[in-house]
Amino acid sequence: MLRQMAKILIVEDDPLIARLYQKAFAFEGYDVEVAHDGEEGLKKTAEDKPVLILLDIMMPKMHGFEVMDRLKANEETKKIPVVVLTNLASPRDAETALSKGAVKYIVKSEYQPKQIVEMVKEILAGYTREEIPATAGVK
Amino acid sequence: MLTTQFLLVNFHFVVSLLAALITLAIAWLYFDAWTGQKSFKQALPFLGFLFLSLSFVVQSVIVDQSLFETAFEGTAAASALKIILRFGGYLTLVAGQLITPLQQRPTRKWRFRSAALLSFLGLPVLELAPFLLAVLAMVTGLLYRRRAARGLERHLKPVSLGFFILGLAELLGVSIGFRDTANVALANLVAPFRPLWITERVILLIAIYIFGRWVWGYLLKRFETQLFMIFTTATLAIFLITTVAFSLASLANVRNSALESLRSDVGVIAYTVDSKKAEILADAQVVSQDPHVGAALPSANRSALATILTNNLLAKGLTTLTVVNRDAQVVIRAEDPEHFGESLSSDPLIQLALENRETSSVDTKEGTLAPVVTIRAAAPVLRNNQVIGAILISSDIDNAFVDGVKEATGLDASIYADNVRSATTFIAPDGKSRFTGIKEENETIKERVLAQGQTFEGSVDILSVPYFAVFSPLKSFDNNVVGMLFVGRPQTSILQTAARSIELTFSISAILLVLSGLPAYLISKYIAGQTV
Repeated sequence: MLRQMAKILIVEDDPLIARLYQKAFAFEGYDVEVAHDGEEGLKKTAEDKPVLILLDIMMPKMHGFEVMDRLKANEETKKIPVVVLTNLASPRDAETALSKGAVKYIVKSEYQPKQIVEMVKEILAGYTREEIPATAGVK
Repeated sequence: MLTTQFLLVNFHFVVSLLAALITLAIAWLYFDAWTGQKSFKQALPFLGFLFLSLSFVVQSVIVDQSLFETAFEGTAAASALKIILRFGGYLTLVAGQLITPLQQRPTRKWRFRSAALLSFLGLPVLELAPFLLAVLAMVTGLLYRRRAARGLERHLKPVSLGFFILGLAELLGVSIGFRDTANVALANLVAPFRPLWITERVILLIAIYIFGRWVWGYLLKRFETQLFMIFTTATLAIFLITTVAFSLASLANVRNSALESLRSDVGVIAYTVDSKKAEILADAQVVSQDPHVGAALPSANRSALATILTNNLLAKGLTTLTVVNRDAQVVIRAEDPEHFGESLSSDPLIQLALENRETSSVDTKEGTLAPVVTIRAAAPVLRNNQVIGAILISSDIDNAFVDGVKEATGLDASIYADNVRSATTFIAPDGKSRFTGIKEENETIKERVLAQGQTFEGSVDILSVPYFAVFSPLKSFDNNVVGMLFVGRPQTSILQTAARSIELTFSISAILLVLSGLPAYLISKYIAGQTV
């Protein structure tokens, strides 16, 4: 069984999508925080220390890649695994995200929300066993 | 035909309420998302879909009134409310789409020209309402499509498709404006329950399916919402089954009570015919007992008889008045004094009268256009207690007779000589002529009424118009069936009576359904609270 009340941060500007994943992860027993733009994402990361961040790329105020740069530049947050959840489907964007330290790059439209929740759960299960971020390929 | 129309009325009710349910689910989804951020622009899609949902609830209770000829109070108000809510819904959604910035792709920029859209709003809104609704639905679809195609929100593709299809259904709704056309082919196409009417609802059903699939995808792991949806859908299903069953039962009731009243109507007509028989017999007795007739008959004094008889013929409004001697030879005919001398010995009424028995009977005779039903009576002329001759009189059951019945009782009726209509109160569409001389070829009616002498009641087509009808046999004095009495009402007029209760049932169901949302919500919340 997964660790109780592990905190996930969803940084997503689309309220429908944010709510969808918030409810889905809350149902799986996670404590879920939602940030609606990049700046709020960074703020909540600092405050809440989540075990995983689901990060959108195209967002108002601060771009997702910039959020990643800042997360990785900060000692306190650089070990938090970041799963990029976006609509940008080009391989270049995926490479950029992975090079910046994302553990997985998921294109929303290519999967059912149910599959995405399963993928994130698997990643989290791996981390809770090892507590060390591992490399991950493009999905 | 009647049942098909009723099923289609119910189909309209079902589709509209399903549309209301699905749009309510989408409204709820946006409301739930709004609780996360509580910004004004997030509230707009919620309000837009809520207005659409309410407009579909109102739409469900509007029973198509062209079928029922007379307009019901409230229907016009409901139609206006539906259009206002629908407009409100689309405009709120369009506004929401316009003020929410697009999730731009990294390299491209696309500007939406809202000026073209806004120019629509300057047009006379109410006159063009159905057309404008179609345009607004398409524009809403276009704006969602823009988010999916130009922006990054591909998950909104089904919503845009749903709105395009909804726009198509709204476009078919424009056909209501053509219902008064003089073109018969077009009028048939756009009339209620015809192909376009059905297509509009089928297309709406497709749009509902697309929206439904999309919204369900967002309810992942949301037990409370899913339970709420399941409860509401189950409640909807129960309401629909009850309403459809109730409306069909109510239709059957109305049909039965219509037949019941027709049965008593035909009894009234039969009673009138019997009274007429008694009246004619009494007339025959009065003439036969006139001492002047008794005095003039043995000497065959035609001029004396002619004076007495002509007075009677005119005063009592009889068709024929004949005097025969003891040998059944015609002494005089009041209606035609120049012809006399032939023998009526084969006439059963004359035979009985000469045996000193008074009788009256319903018979038929040849007429110019159609056979005629006539009431005849014969009475013996006595002198010193000896039968010296007989009086035979007749009165035709013609259009004037049925008109007289209608004036006194308000009943429409037809009289058949065998299976040919000889008199009727039903006037042809030209306002003058009557449909007499038409044969009733329905084998069931011929067998039951003419051959078995029993009453028939049920649905029949008369000149391609469906009627609820009762046929009752007309019998001669020796119990032979010589014709039929018919009373009937067009089925659409019966439908009008049922329509009021159906519309009331629909309205109450719709209100109860909306009210059942609260307990459904509380129950789902309670159950979901126990499982998590």
